[in-house]
Amino acid sequence: MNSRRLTMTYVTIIVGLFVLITGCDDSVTQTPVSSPPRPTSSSTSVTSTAVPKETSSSTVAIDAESKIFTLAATDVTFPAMLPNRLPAAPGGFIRRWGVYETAMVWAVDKPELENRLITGWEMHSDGLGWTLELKEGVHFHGGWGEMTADDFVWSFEDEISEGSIHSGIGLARVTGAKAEVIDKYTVSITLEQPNSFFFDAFFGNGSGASTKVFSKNRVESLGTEDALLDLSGGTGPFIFKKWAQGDEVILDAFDEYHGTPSEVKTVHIFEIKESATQIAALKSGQVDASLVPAPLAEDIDKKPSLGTRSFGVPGSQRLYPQGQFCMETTLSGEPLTPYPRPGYDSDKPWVGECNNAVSQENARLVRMAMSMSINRQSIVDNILGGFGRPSYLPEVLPPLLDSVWQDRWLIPYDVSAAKKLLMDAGYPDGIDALMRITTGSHPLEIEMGQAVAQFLGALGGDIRVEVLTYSGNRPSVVARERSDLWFRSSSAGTGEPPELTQLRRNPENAFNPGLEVREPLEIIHQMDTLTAKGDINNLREKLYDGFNHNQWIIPIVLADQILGINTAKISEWKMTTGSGYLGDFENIRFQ
Amino acid sequence: MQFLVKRLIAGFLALLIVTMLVFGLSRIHGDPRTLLISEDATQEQYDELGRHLGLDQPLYRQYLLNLSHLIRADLGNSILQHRPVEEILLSRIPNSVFLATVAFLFATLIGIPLGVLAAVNRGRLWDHGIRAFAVLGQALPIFWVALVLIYIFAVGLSWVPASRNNGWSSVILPAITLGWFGASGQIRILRSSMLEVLDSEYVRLARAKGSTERSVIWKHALRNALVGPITFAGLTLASLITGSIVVETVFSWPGLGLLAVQSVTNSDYPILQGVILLVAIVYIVASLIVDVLYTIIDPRIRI
Repeated sequence: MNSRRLTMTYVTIIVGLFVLITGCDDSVTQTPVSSPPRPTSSSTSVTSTAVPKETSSSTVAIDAESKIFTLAATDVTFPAMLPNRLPAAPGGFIRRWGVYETAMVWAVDKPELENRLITGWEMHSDGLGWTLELKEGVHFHGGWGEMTADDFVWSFEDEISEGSIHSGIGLARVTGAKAEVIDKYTVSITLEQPNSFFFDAFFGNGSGASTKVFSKNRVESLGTEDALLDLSGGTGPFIFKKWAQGDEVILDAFDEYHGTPSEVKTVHIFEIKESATQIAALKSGQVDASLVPAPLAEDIDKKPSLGTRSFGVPGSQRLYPQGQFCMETTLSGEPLTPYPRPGYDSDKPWVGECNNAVSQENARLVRMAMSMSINRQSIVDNILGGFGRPSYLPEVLPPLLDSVWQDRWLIPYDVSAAKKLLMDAGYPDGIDALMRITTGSHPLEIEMGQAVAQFLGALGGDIRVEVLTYSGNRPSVVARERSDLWFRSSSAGTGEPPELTQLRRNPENAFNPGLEVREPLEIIHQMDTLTAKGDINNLREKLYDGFNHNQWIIPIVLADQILGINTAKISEWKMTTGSGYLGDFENIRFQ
Repeated sequence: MQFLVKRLIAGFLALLIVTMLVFGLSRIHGDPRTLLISEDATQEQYDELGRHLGLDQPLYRQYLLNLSHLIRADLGNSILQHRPVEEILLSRIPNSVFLATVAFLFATLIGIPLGVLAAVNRGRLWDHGIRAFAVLGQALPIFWVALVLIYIFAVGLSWVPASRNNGWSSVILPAITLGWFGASGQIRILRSSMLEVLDSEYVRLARAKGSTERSVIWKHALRNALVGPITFAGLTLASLITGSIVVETVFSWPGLGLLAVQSVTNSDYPILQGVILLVAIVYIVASLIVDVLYTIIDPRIRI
């Protein structure tokens, strides 16, 4: 029968296709074994593909020999290289890629700063500044010459210049910081008023204010616009080889690095948006490391060649009720411009009218109601799989949290009480709001944000959710254009003291999550000039009482961050406290 | 020829409407300067950028200015990357075309034989099996199919990479994911039109004249049944090139779909505008090609 022949023909075609496909597969599985991937000028060929499970040991050996480290990242969106154009926290930038360096870095084994670009420092006799001795023989990537005091001062001034969006600009302006070249390898930093946190903030690598040193010659030679897209000019152990926005980043070890050379010769960072695909890439051997959502950690640990590690300091997830722009002047009395801020909207229930005490109290009740409506423990249990803990104070991370904690700061989960607060505030039907969830720091941040939105929605209003990358959202935040709700997740904690993060909220500062309120800033300002630990602790308690009572920021949870690693290939990866999950590639050791 | 001219004019008008929509949407969003300029810019800089962008002109003149830039293939610069949008689009197009081509080939090579097979074996086991395959291909969520394929073939069997574009081996899973959906449509449309044709008088006449079954199916029936599937195929190809957002995101395939997602999440509107215009152009060209193909497949159709 003809139809039978036809059937046979089609079966043959399908079987042929199957053989063709599996034939392709065979060549794929053989390729890495017989011809290991090597870094070449064509960056797209660097990737080590399709590592067969059965032959993982031999493949690992070859990969280890070629010293390529591959990493799946959710977001490689960090364009524009010039310091004051970076749209994201430069501290994170440094920590993540190891391309740019600061004067000092947090040590791996102990919680203290150690020299990196300097050989020593000395405080001025009046306590208002420091003299830094720069390390000699530090070369810039791309042949831009040796780092000198000129470069250091230029980088510092560029960071705090007019138009900079760096996080440290507010602190620099408040303290009246200035940098001066003393000689080729000596820099002097002076302040007009003392500040206990300035040194760690600007010269360590653990904060967004960190000053990384760029080649002055590079920017002056290329011009500002061309320098934005130029990949050279850092001093770190790795140099950018390729940066394909939203796709991949390739770093090569810098041959002329002034410190201990990195064992890793090439770092290949892939942007993989979906966490399920990230895990698949890790399990299949396509990448050596990836963030792992907490509920999948156990599954990863079951694999003989894979392991997980949790960071000692968790990430911090919180809700910013934006638009609380009620400071007309700075702490020193200078008028704020523009005022009112573009994002100020007194109709927003959590904002209220600035000079109306009743309205402000109602806004406080609304913020407290929002906070009380969120079942934090449920988020920890059901989304984080138990890998985390509820959070009630902003920016306070363990171990400091445990040492300062007071039971009165706990916010109960009580929807009835929250609804009553809303009713008292004049919103018996709940509140309508747009809530932005920004991504890029934790694999479950969208789920956490959506859960928060649902809890808020249970109060009766309409909570709309918008998901955006952190980088995409930041410019509008910097411009104080928002008066919405913003759920933000930070990656694993940094080495910076929490007070510093509060300092960055100074209204003069570039970055501000939507909180310009005088009370906490005044307390922080007082803390700056104190040196006695007991005095600082007293003020800190007062500060946290204020945060607890007013809920200017609504803390949600402290989520553990878990990294999955190919332990058959990676024997050691020491990370400093302020590393986040992506950094310190130079500390990786292969099996 | 007259038809072609008419279609070209219609296509041009459609494109013009798309540019109006894109321009209108971008203006509804607000003053584009708020996206393009530093928040610390002075009023002079703000005004200067306004003059540079033509924002000091009436709205209709702004639109004409925008149009003149588009005609010169000047789509502006990406807000985040500081690079020309056309350069960014060009870097992503080859990846999307590569994926779409392989997926289209998969859909066609699977869809046409199975569609014919189902029609020829109407009501039998083959027909039921193929129809089930087609229904599943259209009913199963693409992201779910993608993840299942990844976990079977990349994680479980380690035959192919889990994600990204690393050449032929990495295109297999995303192409199958995309192609299965396309193949399912092909199967259902072709089966339906084949059944109609197989019942027609000229097919019965061909059989009565003693033509072989192969000749009846492939020469007489299939050719006449292809008009519908070709329309579907043309638009499928266009959608594969421009619209594989889910698949590109799950597989981290650096094509236009992923670029669209990234530009939305980064609020990079110049890129989004470029992607939308490109999508419109591809659809218009694809539908034009499909119309022309009608005449080749079926000379009775006059255009």
